[in-house]
Amino acid sequence: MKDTPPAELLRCATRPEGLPEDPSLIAQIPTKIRAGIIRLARAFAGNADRTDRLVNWNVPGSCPKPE
Amino acid sequence: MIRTLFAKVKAEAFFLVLLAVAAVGAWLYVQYRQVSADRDDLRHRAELICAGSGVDFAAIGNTGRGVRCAQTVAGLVKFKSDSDQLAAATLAQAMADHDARQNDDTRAARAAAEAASSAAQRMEMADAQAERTNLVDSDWFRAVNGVAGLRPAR
Repeated sequence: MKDTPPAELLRCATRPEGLPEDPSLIAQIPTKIRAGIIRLARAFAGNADRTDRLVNWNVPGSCPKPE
Repeated sequence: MIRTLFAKVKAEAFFLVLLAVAAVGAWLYVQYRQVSADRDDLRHRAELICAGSGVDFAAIGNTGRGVRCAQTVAGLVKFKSDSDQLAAATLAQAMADHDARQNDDTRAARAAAEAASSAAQRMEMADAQAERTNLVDSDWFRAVNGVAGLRPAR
């Protein structure tokens, strides 16, 4: 018995463009805010990877695999 | 003595033969009743069994009695063995699918963990450089993109 989740739940993780890596851009960011940005980035990667794995578990090969 | 007895028997010979025939007849009659009761019982049971398979035991047209019923039962037996086989095959396929999925996911999880740990190392180094002045440049931004697994914005 196969119970496929709705299409909405089978969409791969959204991965927008991140921060610009332009060498001319320099910012001053206090340590606490830097730590917050890093926490967000880490959580984003974890959630996105798990979403893709979950989608791939349900419909194998639908999301790109990490190299 | 014996002679008189023999003479009497001879006189009653007709009656004795009649008695013997009656005895045999009675025995046959009992046998017949037993056999017919047995037959009725068997027939009744055959009808019950056939009714259980959903087909009449009675003969229809040229088909002898019980023939269609036997065919139906044979078909049911075949159906059962076929469906058993199919179920076993389906189960085996499901298990193989599950194993393949499990392997794929384990690989993906390991790759993600490795990428995350090397990105975290680079992030730590880039952040350590910004620790004193709070100034961050493209190195730090690249490290953040690495941790988040995102490509840079243009």
